[in-house]
Amino acid sequence: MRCEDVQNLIEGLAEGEITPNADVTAHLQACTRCSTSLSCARQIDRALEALPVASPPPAFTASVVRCTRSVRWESEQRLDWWFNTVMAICLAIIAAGIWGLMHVTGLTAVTLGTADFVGRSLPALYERVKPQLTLYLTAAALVFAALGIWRWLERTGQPRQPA
Amino acid sequence: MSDFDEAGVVRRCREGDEQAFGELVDQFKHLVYGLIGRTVLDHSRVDDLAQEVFVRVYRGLPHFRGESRLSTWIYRITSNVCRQEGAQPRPALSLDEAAERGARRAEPAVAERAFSDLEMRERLEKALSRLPVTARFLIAGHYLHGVRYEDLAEALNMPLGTVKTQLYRAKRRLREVLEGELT
Repeated sequence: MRCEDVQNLIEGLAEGEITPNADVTAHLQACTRCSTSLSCARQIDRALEALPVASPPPAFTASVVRCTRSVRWESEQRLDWWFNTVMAICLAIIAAGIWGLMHVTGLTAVTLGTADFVGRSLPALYERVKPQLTLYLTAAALVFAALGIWRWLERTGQPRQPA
Repeated sequence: MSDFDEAGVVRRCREGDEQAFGELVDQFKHLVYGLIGRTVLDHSRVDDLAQEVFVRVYRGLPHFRGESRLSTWIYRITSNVCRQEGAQPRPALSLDEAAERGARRAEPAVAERAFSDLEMRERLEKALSRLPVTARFLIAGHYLHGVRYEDLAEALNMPLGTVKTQLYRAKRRLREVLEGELT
């Protein structure tokens, strides 16, 4: 038996997956090079088994779960953005369709007349509202501030993905 | 491992059950960590990469069809993450180079020499770093308890025989490198 043949079997022999036949055993007894290889392969096998295994830190699971919350939130945000965009496009198409229909049926002329009437009525309306204008503006400012705080809390309250 | 209800956990994860995902992470974190720790060269990256694996698992769960075992799918993701990391400070030896080194390896004159365990570990880690990432992943998987040849074959999308052959070749390369150092 040649060294080359035995060398191909060394790893299997070292691991015990191959049982040496009489020829291989005789060769290993006679050939120092192949018996050294076998002993080296066995040493490698033992060393590979004994290599230290990295262990996750105790907080690993919690950290991953926090990460997935962030992933989910980002995914929901993306979905919201697409939904809003699609809705805006749909509304624009509907508005354009209505306008086109009104134009075809001659309703736009009537609508323009109405707009002109409303335009002329606005100054009169303003005069009536003027005394309570500060109150209305303050109320509107409060509503927008509340909405702004709610939006800010929603954004900052989300966990961020660690780097 | 046998108490782990794979299908049930996957279903609960898909329903958004955070606790179920925590159970899944707990079940596989040691194996994922072990595989990555033994495959990548930069050990400071293990934590981030293990986290990346589970984030990918989380993202992929809605698309997981259950055609393979959950563990196999996770090994595949781990293998992909390791391969993408691909941090190899030195170019890996090609099989031809290794064969050439093998031809020049130890002769009977140095047969009596052997490495001490500590020396062997150090040299082995150096030799491992010269193997391609797939070979390192195979060796890591093979020597970690719980990873079967079949899992590795499916994870790496290779026939079972190829996995065994590649593993033997990787180990032979390790031996040839170490024997070469004895000369």
